[in-house]
Order: sequence, then C-alpha cells, then structure tokens
Amino acid sequence: MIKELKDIVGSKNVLDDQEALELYSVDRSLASPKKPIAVAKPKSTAHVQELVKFANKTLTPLVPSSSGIHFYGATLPEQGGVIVDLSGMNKILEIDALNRKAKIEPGVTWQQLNEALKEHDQMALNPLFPHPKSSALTSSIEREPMLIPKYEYGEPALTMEVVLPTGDIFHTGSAADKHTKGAYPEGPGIDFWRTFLGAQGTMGIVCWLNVKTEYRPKHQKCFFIGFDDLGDAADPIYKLQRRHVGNECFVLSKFLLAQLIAADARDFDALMNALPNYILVLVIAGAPRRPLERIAYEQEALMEIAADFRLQPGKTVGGVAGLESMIIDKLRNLPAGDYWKTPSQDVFFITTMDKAAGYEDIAMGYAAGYGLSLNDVGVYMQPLERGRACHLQFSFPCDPSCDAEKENIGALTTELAKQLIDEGAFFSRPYGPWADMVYRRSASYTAMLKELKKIYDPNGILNPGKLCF
Amino acid sequence: MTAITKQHELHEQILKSFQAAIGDENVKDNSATINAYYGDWLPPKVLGMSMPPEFVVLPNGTMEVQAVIRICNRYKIPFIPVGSNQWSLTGSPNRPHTVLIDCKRMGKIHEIDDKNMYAVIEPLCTLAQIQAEAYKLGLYIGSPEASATASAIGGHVFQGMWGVGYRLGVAYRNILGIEWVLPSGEILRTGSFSQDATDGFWGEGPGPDLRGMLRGYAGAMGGVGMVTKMAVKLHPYPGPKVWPVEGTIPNQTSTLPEDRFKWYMVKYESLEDAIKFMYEVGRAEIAGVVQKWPTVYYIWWWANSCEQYWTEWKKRTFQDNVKNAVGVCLWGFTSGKQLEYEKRVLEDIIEETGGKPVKQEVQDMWVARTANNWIRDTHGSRMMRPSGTFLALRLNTDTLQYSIDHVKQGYEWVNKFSPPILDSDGPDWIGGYDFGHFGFGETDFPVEKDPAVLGDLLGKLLEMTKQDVQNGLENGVGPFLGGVYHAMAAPVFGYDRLLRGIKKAIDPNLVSNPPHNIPIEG
Repeated sequence: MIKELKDIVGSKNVLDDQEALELYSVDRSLASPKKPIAVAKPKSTAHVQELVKFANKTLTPLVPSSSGIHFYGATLPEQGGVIVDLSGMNKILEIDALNRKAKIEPGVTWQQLNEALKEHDQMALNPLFPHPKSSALTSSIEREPMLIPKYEYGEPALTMEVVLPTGDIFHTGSAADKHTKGAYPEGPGIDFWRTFLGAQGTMGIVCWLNVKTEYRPKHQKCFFIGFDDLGDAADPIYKLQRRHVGNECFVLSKFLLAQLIAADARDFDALMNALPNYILVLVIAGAPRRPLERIAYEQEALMEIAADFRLQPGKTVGGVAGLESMIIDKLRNLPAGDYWKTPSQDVFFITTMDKAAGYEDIAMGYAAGYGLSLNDVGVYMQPLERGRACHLQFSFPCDPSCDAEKENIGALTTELAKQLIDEGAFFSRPYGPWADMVYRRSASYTAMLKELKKIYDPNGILNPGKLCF
Repeated sequence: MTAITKQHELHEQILKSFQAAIGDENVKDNSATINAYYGDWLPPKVLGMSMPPEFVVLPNGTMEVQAVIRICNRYKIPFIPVGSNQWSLTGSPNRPHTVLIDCKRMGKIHEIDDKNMYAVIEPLCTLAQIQAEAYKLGLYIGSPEASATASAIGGHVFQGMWGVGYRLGVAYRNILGIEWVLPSGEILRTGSFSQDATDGFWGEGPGPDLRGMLRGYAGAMGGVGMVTKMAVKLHPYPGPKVWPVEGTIPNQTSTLPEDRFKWYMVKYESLEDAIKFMYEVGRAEIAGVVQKWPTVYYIWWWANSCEQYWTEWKKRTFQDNVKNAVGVCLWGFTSGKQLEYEKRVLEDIIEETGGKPVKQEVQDMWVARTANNWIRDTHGSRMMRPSGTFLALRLNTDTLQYSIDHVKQGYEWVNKFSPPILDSDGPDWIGGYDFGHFGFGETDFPVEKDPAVLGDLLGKLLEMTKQDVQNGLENGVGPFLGGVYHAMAAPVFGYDRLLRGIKKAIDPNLVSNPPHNIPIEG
C-alpha cells in the first residue's frame, strides 16, 4: 500500500512512521486517538483523484484533512485508513477584486488569505478569530458562522471543484461551464453543492473553492455594551440588525474577552474583575465611498436604539484602555499565534436569540455541577442573517494534558449536548458524539442522507464512521 | 373483458382510492374540470405536447398528500404537483393517466415569527398573501417576475431571481425548514424541521444539506415529490404597513414614501458602461434594487393592451430613452439619513461613470406604474400582452461581466431567428445580485402564439441548446426544459450518475412527473 501511495504522490509526501501517525491520530477534541495506516500529501487534484481511485480499488478509507488544526474529531480515522493531508495544496488561485471573490485551495490558511486580500482592499468572511493556521476553505464548507450578520445573502461558499468518492471530478455551480468565472453556486443539475457542505469530508474532497470576499473597511468604530445577563442583549441586537446597523456584531462572555485581550495572567485576573458578564461588540464601518458619512448615520441609529433600552455604548467597557483599537486590530489582522490562550471544548448549535438565555441557564446549571461558573466558561453568541437566528457556543476550558479534567469536561459536554438537544437546540453541524444524538431524532433525514451516501460513495471509502455513515 | 372495460374498471378503482383518502368532493375526473386544468400561456398545449390529466385531486395537508402519492405508487400512475399553475412548460401532463395534485386547499400561513423573521407557509400561499402579512410587521419577501398570485413556495423551489435579489440573494438562500413528501410517499423534513416538525427556523442540515435536491438552476420540475410546508426567511422592510396603490388595474400606480425610497433611472452610451455602473453601485454597498431592463420590459410592464404596446413601440418612446439604462432603487433601512447618504454616493457614481438621467417624462411613465412592482410583484403576465406569449434564450448567472457576453450572444440568436421572433430591440435583461457578487443575464422576446411558429422556434432553441451543451456551455434556457435537458447535459457536466441515482432512489416507481428531473426509464 505504501508503495502505491508513494507512486501517486511521491515518496516525500507519504508518512508512515509511528511518530507522524501518532501526530495525526489526535486533534484538539476529546475524541479518543485513531491511528491512520499512512498519511498522503497530494499536491494537485490529479493526485487526489488517483488516491480516491486507489482507495476504491483497495477499499481503504480516506480521511481528508486540510490543516493540522482541528477541533472536533472530524479528521480522525474512525476506521483506520489513509489521511489525505491537503495542507500542501495551499495556493490562492485567484483574487477577483472586481467580483469580490477568491479561489482557494484547501491548505490556504486564514492568515494567508487575509494577508493576500489586504492588497486588494478586500477581506474574507471569517468566523470568530479563527486559528490563523486553520483552513479557510474548510471553515466555509463546514459552515462556520460569519462575524458579520449584515449580508442577508450569507453563505460565502460559491463554486467548487470536488473529487467525488468514485474518483470523478465534479465542478459545482457555474464553474461547471468553463466559459464562466465560477461566481454562481446553483446547478448543474440540482444543487449538489449543498451536499458537500457540513459533510466533514464524507461526500467528496473539495480541491478548490470560490469564496465571497467583501470590502475591507478603512474607517470604522467599535462600540461595546456591557450586560449582566445574556438575555438582555437579545432585544437591542434584534433592533440593531433590523435597522441594518453595523458590520461585525457578536456577544462574548467576559471569560472570552479577557482571554482575547489579556497580556498575561495578572492582566487576565484584573480584566475578569473589571468586565461585565457579557459584552456586545459592534463595529460600525465605512463603505468605500463617503465612509465617515455612513459611520455617522449608523452611529446615530445605534445611539437611538441604545437610548430606548437605557444602554450606553462606549469605546470601551470595564475601563479597559485601548479596547477599541485592540479589537479592530484583531479583526482586521490575524496574527500568527493562537488567539485563545486556554484550550477548551466547545458545545455549539443554532437557535434564536430570544431562546439564548434559556440555553445559557441550562449550560451554566450543568457547569455549576462541575464546579464551574461564568468566571470559567466562555459564552459566544453570534447573530446570523440580520439577527434572524444565532449561533450559540459554550466553551469549557480543558487541559489536554490532564486526564481527569478531560474526563470531567467530556462528561459535562456530552450531558449538556443531550439536554440542549432535548430542549430544542439545533445542532446543524453534529460532530463526534452529537451526531448520534441528532440523527436518532431525524429518521427521515438520516435515511435520505444514507441513500445519498450510497449513491455518492458506493464503497464507503470517504471518512467512514462520521455523521450517520 | 375488453381493454376498454379493464381501463374503466381501473379508473373507478383509482377514483375510489383517492375518494377514500381525501373525500369524494376533492377528487375530480369530469371532463369540464379536467379540461380547465391544462390550458395556459406556454407552448405545450399550443403545440399539442400536453394532454388532459385523468384526475385532479385536492388534498389538504401533508398526510393527505402522502396518501395521494402512495396511491399513485400503488397503481404506478404519474402525478404532477401544481402550485399556482403559472409554469407549465414542464408541468403539463405529458403522458396518460396523470394525476394533477392541486394544492388549492393548502394555502395557509401557519406562522409568522416577527422577531426571528420567518414565515411557515403552505404551497398555495401566494406572494401577495405573505407580502401583505409581512408588510404589517415591517418585513418583506422577494418576488420573482411571476405576479402576486404566484405560489410563494413555487417561487422558492423554482428559479426565484427576485427584483430585490440584489439585496437578498436568489430564492434558494431563502428556504429554511421544509416538509416534503418524496415521490415514494415518505415524508422528509429538512433543517430544523428534521428535529422538531413545528420549528422550521433554520434551513441547513443537520450535516450535509438536502435542500438542494429541490432546487438547481430552475428547480426539479415536480420530479422529486411535493413540498407541503416550508419556512421562508422574511427581511427587514422600511416601507408602509400596507402596499400603497392608487387607481385601478390596469392603471394602478404605487408610490413608496420618499423619505425611505428613491428611484433613479440612469442611462449609458453602452451596455458595458451600464455594467460598470452596476459594479460600482454594488461595491459601494448601497441600494435595494439594481436592474438593467431591456426596452421590451418597459413597454411590457407599461402597456395596457396589445394595441397600446405596438403603438407605443412604433413611437420608440422607450427604445430611444431607456436603451442601456439602469434602474436603481435606494432604500433607507436604517433611517431617512441612510437614504440621503445613499443618494450622495449614487450621484457621485453617476457623475464619475458618465451616466445621464432618463428623461423625466419617461421615468414618470415607468416608475409609479411599474418599477415599484419589482419590489412587491412584477405583473409577469403582462409579458404576454404583445403576442400572447414570450420566450427566452441565453440566460445565465455568473459575474455581471459574463452577463454582457451572454446577452450579446443572445442578440445573435434573436437576429438569426427573427422572424418569427418579433421586434425586440436587443432584449438584454441584466440584474445584479448579492450586492453585485454575481449577475443574471436573460434575453427575452415576444413571439406569436402560433403552433407553427412556436414549434419551429422551439425546435431551433433545442438545437441551439444541444450545440451549447456539446461545447460545454450552460446556456441557461436548458434547465427550464427539465428532464429533456438534463438527459443531454448531465453526462457532459458530470452529474449523470448522481442525478439518476437520486431519482431512482426516491422515485422507484417513476411517478413524480416523469421525465423530470431526469429520465430513467429504460
């Protein structure tokens, strides 16, 4: 097998030494280690295609992995097999500033994309302070939430090149027609492209993706509003979004904001004492033309809405010096290091903002049972699509070197996820143990997905053991 | 027993099955009703390509639809789900024993969640119906150029290139949870409906997203079962709670409040200059509607009769004044100050790009009479006025730039086929979507509703489509032909195995409007 893999991608691009395999057998989740037989590092779509053909011939599972930074167990080989490490396919194939899109390979990192787009006055639609070395493509096709709910059209993924589990190459949307620029996602045929999203690499291996980019503002102001309770943030955000105010808009608990900006442990403690429980972060940004005039009318609307709720938006919160410039810098320039200083395990789902406080109560109730409070738990609420819905996330710190802590947090997050699902939280991206909890409740959807999987992947070679497959 | 007797007995048996399932009064097989169900403005009937259905059934609710579809499976007879029945190029019965599933008893708005901006609707809920309720709450929904009486679900699963898509995207992004009876009779619930059949607020997942099975560039043409309930997004709207109208149809006008809405009609020397302007407007992130309409559209929407259309056409009122003009509607979502800001930005762009205002009297003819309908509805049926029908060739969605090339190719075909295509002045409709991230181009023209003319023209269009597919070109018209097109395009564009596999899996008895969405017989 190793020889065949080397014949496909070259000797240097196959790893089968124990040290390397150990490295690929774990990620940042609490999933138990799963060791691959080998790791293959393709450099082109043709390599990927040959690997898939090889896998079908030998019935070897293939597990696509786009970067070394993974959080939810999606790249661990449940049934062994070969990891297809796509990090070497890391070219930005095109930046099309006129049509505001970029064509990227799976190994392109957020930092790389962000830097490249700066030269074109563009920015990517990234999730909350992503790890700078994580894959921008994976983030988009796994539907990680964007920080800017103002783009009603949402969905940054446009068109893609996919190697299907049979080894055929398929281009989605208008990219199927070579005469076009690949700007429109629908077709050919039905919208197959959607079946590759949220699929954890089970339905095909995406070799490039056209993603939307947006204007990178040169002028902006960042406002903060503190809240004691998460529930109090919902109504002001509904109003702000309904009136089209702001670009980035999200709520962090003090634990997350302190982690993000603390210089050291002492500073962290001081921040935890100074910050309110929850902080709404709202960036009001200028457009390419008359930027200050846009900021002015949006700021005026912000102040009107805030006054209605007796709130006082400010350039800082908790007396933190330089907070506005710190946040804007972090939003616009993804630094080389990890933003989040404390490793954690996340539980996240989609809901509506009016239900967020109820879910927070449940989460904090579970946390209390494990001796944790809001001083130890990260809460992140991301309004989506003009506040029509939101992504809600609870992050529980967990030292990966401490088995007892891993066991505790593992139990907490699993119990919590079960309870949240029972209470109506929608886990639209069911990773790891959540998959079973979710798919048991959706018989018809699960049956249809399984039918689709059989059609796409008759030999079941792509990332078996994930989702309901 | 003769074949005729057997056939009659089978008909009676099926009739009784439907009656038992949904009630005697909801099953029709008399000739007066049956014949009323297969006439429309599109070519199939004119060309004798369609035939009357054997039954028209009117179920109420998902369980009754499921019962009807199960009966169709038992007897292996085809069914076609119809919404407001405005698109029948692929929705007319094309084979014997067809059952039309009419959703006339399924027109409810189940719920409007004002705070979280979505509505849960049934198949016959019309755009006018949902819009009227949404406006009351300061919300709105997009509308394609199909008129206010079109089914909102139909608009979402078909193409849905809304006038307001510049701001909201195309309808496929607007679909949230779906409840859907598959051709096999199984009920599929997607998005958050999959977990809780009463809560459809979210469309994706869980995991891979199955919503796309209903869509594609022009929908599945009834080939994948019937949607019985759908949650759809609503969007913030700064307009009045009741749509403002003055006068009566066909002379009705609508004027939106000046402090929140402002139309501009800007004329350019060339199509290329007009598109540059559209790019700049999108880049500036302003406006709610940005459309470059062809001259035929202005007069289609403006004229009250066929005679008035051709009289005005001969005067060249529109051809001489709106060629290469772009209509922009600014919206003050945030406040009146947003509108004032956007006016200043737009006027900067007009000046920089050399745009000239369309003559005021022409703007007056168009804006109040028709342009506002690109927000509420678009009186699509007016496109029939000059000749009784219309056709399109070369429509495509990609970049705005690509739309120019595409509609120009369209001109060549229009010229080549004129006559029988009627005078249409280079009919180039180009719309901007998603703030100009992509553009849609379409070449529409009037044509005589005459069997010989239509037959000849459709044959030519089909030949053009075949040539295009062979050249790897998606000409955009093809997908509207449904299964006929996909049979030729799927192998070329690499989705043959997938689409046939899905159709076989969900429609084992080939009952859901065959040959759509792809033929798998034989």
